[in-house]
Amino acid sequence: MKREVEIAVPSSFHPRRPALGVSPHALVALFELSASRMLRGRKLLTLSLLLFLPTGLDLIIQAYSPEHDSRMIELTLVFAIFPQALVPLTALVYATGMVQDELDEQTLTYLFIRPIPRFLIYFVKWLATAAITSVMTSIFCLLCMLVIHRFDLSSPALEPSRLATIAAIQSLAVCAYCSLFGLLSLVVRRTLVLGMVYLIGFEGVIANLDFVARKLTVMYYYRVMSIRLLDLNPEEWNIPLATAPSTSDCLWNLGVATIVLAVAAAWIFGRREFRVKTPEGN
Amino acid sequence: MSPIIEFRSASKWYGNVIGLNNVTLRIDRGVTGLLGPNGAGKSTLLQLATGQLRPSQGEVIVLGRHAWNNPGLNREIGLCPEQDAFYEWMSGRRFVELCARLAGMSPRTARAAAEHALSLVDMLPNADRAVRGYSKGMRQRTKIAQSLVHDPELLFLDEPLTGTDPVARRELIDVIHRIGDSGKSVIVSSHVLHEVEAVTRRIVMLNRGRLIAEGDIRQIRDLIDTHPHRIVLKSSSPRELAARLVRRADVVGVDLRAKDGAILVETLAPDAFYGTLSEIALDRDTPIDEVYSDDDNLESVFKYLVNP
Repeated sequence: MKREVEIAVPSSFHPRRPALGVSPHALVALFELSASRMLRGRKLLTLSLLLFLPTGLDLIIQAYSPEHDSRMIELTLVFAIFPQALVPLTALVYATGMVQDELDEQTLTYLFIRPIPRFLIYFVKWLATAAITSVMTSIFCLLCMLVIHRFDLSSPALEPSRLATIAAIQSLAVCAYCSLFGLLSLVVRRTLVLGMVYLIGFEGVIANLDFVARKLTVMYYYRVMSIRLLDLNPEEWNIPLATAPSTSDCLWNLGVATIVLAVAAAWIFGRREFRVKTPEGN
Repeated sequence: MSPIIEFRSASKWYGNVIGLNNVTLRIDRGVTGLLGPNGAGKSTLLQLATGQLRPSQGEVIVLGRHAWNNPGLNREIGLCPEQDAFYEWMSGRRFVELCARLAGMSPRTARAAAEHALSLVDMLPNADRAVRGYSKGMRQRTKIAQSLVHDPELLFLDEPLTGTDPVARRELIDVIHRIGDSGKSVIVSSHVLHEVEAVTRRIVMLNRGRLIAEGDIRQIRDLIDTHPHRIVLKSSSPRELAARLVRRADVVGVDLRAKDGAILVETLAPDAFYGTLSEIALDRDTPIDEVYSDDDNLESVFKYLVNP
């Protein structure tokens, strides 16, 4: 704070009023901030270890049972453990922390005092959460696939188009879960507990029953798309293919649900007050 | 001249708790101090003025616009929040750059603006260290830098001097003066009178969510001093003590309470009265067992005004 430093700043430091009211620089900065928050800390380490679990399990199986059935292992680890447990759990942890972490760490103020509409703050954070969660789960899932098939790139199971389809379907599920849990975190307390109850009760049990309610689960559409696009056996999940929706219907239903839930959450975020605790208030 | 900040019968409730109670207030351009004890409602007032909170009742107008949820207004205002919160993994430079980018600057401009803002608060030598390793004073200065980085017209500084050492405090006060001299408006909140006095003569005083005074700090001091303070004394010889007190020039009233035998003293010079009390108490004829203020509200105001 030397006397010679001038308070007056060059006019180039005055952010211009952008044509659309929001500067793309601000949105990019917010995306980077949201993404970098996710890519550090204990949360990342814990989730990475969790996502590595199927790969580790397969390495153990390979060590003790070299003659194992790769297709069966793939079905269990990649098409059961990943979509039913690890993907929704990762989405739950990240999506519920998307606003709550900023609130707990009292940094939300730094976002609210910027010229960015609140609904866009939420939307960009959602985008970052969905993107990072998708990339993370896809990387670990593909690693698991490579380990299961012993890095045999000539194997039909490891065809690039097949791997890309697996990652794409999984990412669609991630987006839907992020929308759902993001909204949940804005309207209820103890979102982690409630999210777990939802995952076990709804996505875990109801998705397995041949009943109309299963069409309200993300898991159902994930499985139908996996069956149709990856030639999996529909009997594994008790899904009669004749009455199941087409791939485009699955995409449409999941996409609409994802957008509606994200828009609803952004609307709530834009209107709700977030009282950041101050030392005085505490 | 239109005010830069206007509260029109504004109230803010947190459930059953009143944060701000029916405040009507106009703040003109320049540097204004917001004074009040902890829990007075200073932060609530600033959060309302910066559009973070919606008034439960009334209106809050800043720079001619409604403050609540008005992102366009954030181009013109800067806030140094009270909470000691940062993205701890970042360096001070990266944090201030990020804030500049969030304000809409391109990365290149944000770098230059961050450099300038950090130089204003003398943080350039430590700008590349992680925030988590900063001292309290350095953190305060970094927070001020982020509030200045987009060159706002109106700056809100919530307890900016908290935790700073005397040298840094002096320097920060100097920065605030220069910001004010450059034509910008600054609202500085504090619970310490001499801090506010060092920054400006114009103050707004809050207590328990209410606006209790506004204007020149000297007038407020006079107001406090002309208002009699009620002090209760308990003694084993109340009549002798009362007789002695009534002869004092700084005492304007003495009442012997029948219910508990305590003496209620009214004085216009509480400082002087408290100063000579020990002398009276040492006298064998007029022992004093207990002393306390009978006017909590005024006492708290008094305490923060006179005993910062």
